Amino acid sequence: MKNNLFIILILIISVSGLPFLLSGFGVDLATEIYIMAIFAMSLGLLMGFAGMVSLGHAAFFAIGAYTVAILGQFINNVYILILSAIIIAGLIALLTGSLFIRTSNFYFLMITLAFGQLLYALAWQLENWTGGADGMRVSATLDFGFGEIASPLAIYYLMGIAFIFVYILLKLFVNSPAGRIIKGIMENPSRMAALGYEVRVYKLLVYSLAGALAGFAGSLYGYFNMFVSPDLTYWKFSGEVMIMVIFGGVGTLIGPVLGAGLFIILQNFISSYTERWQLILGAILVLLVLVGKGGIIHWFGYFKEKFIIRKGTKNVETSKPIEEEREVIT
Amino acid sequence: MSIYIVQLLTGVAYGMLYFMIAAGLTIILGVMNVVNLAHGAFFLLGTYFAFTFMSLHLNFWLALLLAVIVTAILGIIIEKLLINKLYGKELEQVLLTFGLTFVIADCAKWIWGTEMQTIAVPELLNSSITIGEMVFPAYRLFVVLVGCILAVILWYLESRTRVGAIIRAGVDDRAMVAALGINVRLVFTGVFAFGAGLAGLSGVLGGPLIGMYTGMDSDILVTSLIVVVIGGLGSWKGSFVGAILIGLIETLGKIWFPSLSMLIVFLLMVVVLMIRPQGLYGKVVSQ
Amino acid sequence: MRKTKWKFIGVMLLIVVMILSACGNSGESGDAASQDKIKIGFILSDSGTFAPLSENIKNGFKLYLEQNDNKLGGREVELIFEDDEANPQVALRKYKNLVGSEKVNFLVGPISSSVVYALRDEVEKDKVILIDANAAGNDLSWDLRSDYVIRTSFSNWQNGSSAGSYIANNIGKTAMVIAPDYPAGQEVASAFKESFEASGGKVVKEVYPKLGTNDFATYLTDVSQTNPDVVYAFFTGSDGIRFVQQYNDFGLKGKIPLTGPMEFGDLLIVEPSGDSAEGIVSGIIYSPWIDNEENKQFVEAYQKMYNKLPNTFSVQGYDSALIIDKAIKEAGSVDTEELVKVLKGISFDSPRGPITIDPKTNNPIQNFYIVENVKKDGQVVPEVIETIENVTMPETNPAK
Repeated sequence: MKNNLFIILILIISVSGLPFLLSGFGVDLATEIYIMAIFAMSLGLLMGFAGMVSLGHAAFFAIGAYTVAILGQFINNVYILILSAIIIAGLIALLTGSLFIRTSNFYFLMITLAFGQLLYALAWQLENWTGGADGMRVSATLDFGFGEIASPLAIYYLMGIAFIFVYILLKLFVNSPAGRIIKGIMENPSRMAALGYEVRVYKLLVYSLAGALAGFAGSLYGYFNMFVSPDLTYWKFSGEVMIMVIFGGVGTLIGPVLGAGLFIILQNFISSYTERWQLILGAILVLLVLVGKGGIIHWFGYFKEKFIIRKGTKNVETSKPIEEEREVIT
Repeated sequence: MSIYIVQLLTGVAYGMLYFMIAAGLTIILGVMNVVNLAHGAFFLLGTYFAFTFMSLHLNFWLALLLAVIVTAILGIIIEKLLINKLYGKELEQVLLTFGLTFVIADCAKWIWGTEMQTIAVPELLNSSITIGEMVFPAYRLFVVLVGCILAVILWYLESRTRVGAIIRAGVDDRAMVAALGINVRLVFTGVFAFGAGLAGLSGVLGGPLIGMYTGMDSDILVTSLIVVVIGGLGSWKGSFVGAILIGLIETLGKIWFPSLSMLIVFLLMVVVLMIRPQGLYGKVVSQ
Repeated sequence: MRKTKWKFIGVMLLIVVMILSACGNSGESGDAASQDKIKIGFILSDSGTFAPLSENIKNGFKLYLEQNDNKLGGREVELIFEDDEANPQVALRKYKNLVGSEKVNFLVGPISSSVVYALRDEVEKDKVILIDANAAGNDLSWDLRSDYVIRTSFSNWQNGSSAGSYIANNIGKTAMVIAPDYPAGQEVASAFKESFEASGGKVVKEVYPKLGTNDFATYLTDVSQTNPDVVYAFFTGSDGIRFVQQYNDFGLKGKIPLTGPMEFGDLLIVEPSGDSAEGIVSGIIYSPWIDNEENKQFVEAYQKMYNKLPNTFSVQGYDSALIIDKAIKEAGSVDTEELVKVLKGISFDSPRGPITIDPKTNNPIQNFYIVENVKKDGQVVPEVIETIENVTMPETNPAK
């Protein structure tokens, strides 16, 4: 618990302090990273705590963003729009999830991919609502009742607060009884079923929660970018988020956050310097996988192992003679 | 009537291309448990290699052979150097192959440039046959023929040879293969190279139909993954049926449900998985 | 043991902060260094199917710089290239970098219309000039027109309507239209229909295959059943090559004349399509064989630099550089408002012929050439039959 407070404190300090170090674009990029971090955490929850690897998670993100764009034409109220984005995404996740969780592993990956592509096709074809392939502009304004939030810095803080809020929320959920049961189901489904837990209900719960959170991230993104297009639900976007999660470390909450940050920064940086950004990014991915030890969050564990094990072995060496001595004595 | 024959043949011809690429994908998935997202890249490389060989004034058939061999060799290298290191770590393997798609696609762009190209239909097959009042290109019939021959070869391999027995055992129970004293690593390398070669073959044969352009790898990847899912993991029979089904649905869907043509393949997959969560010919695997 | 993990996270966050701040500072340091230098940011699509278009636009732009000692309007030029992956969301991020951090004077870009629509509001807000070197969406000249977006390429309306009356008067009165099912496809098709029917033709059937269709057999059998006088088809990139080849494969070439907008007369499609492209009639804005002094020099220089012939996109890139050069010279400064005043209504001689930016639509008034692809010395080349001068986009949507 102390550690959790510590990390939350670090997050709060970095979120509030960052703008003093960053210039305009840095703030914009950090804002986007917070939104993506929320998105990545929602997938991280699904992958790392429930063992469900989805390649269509962007669908819920897009649902959130499109909700703000489409409903925003009629109702210009942040509370209603964001709330409906969360509810709609969550409900659709609940509905589709009840069908999808019948499948497992690779089939689950594929059926979620198909779902994302279905939405992609819909966003593309329902031109009158979504603007089709040309996308549509978001007309809703970011106004919580005390004036429109338009300056990049204000948006930055808003997204930063949302990010910390979601992090705390997820941390609480993961450590709650339901969260523990879900983790247990991932590790040993048959045992948990034998213990009388409804495996499917818990899986569905996580899937819906992850969907609702992705919808929340999507609605923020709609406000941030003021433009939505079908690319938001394309499988490559789902793939990118998956990279962020695996990149950062599956099974932790802060891992996907770091993954999102590093991925977006890398993608931006490399492409600014060279046209061969795909080659370099791809090579970095390959390298990171080979030496990555399951995500950057675990690198430290690796270094520590090397470092502490040396100490440890010394301890073993020193303790061994004592045991031998004891044997001799007895 | 003849219109429907033309449509059917078209659907089957494309189905055969999907079959060739999916056959490799499914066996890599079934035996090695690797979701090879770089499989589309092998397809692309097949086309590009064949283009290079043909621009060196080799004929189509020699170019075909060389392109398949080179792609397979590349498969061996990638398996030995990279995928081998991550045996048993499925998520990491997905990420690795995803990274590879970036690398291969960008290298291809670097080497061959971005200009779109086509591969000429071999002289021998550059004609059309007449069906009723309709005309049908002979090359497509040839693709259908190659697909059928491949299906027979794979069926023979699977059911009548020792290699097939090992692969079947591998799909059912990987641990058992190792316990039998078979060199699993060698089997994996072989399977991966074979799959890459098949994707290359599909790329070369698809060259005259689909052409070559940047981005063709990701265009084909999703469809072939769907074929694998519909057919069932590790099943060549499933891939064959699934591929023809997809080829036909894509073609006929354009006539019957033109407004749904973007959705129809995905809908088919969702329906199949709802009825049979393990695909048409997949085995029920415990988690 | 756990504490160290959190320390690690702290370190990681610190690294992120450092990278981010480095990212932000990079632009500002260079800003004050040389006031005369101008920065041009490119938002193009380098990955995916649009890659060849991007490359040719860059080639054309670089050629113009090469010919002018790397100077535009007498000032040194720095180019920054970004890849939008044809995705408006990525494009917006790149835009923020180029404008917010790099502080570019001009933006040149995008390939796809969805990106230009996404950028349009931003450039309006930030008052940055965007030279649209390709994206052809009609609304950019109509409802979504912005003073800060000047198009040097062409609009879908121009592209679709140019050949309509020639086809109705010279080739056939009934037409079947085939175009991909996305905004550009529909815009080109409806512009063609409008001009074709205004000249006494009749569109008997319209079909819209999905974008990225591998196989057109279904539509081609439909063509032979419908049996129109002429087929008008709009396809870009690899879709276009496949369509042209399959039109031949299914025995329609020579039976029903195939026509189309500029894509079917552009080398990007004509060259790889081989003999299949022979006989197609199209309305184009550029070919290397257009006869004028600028083009002769342009083609020669381009071939010398890149060892291949330029296509429409190369000239769009070239003209984008040309227009910036001329605008700075005429305005005498790089002040945005001054430049906008000059750019609206600016005229110049392009390798594609004389061009004036229409101040009412910010779209070029330009010549279209009706060409037929003919075989010469074993190579298929577009041969000009007729020149339609000063094709001007209407001020508002004629359909409304």
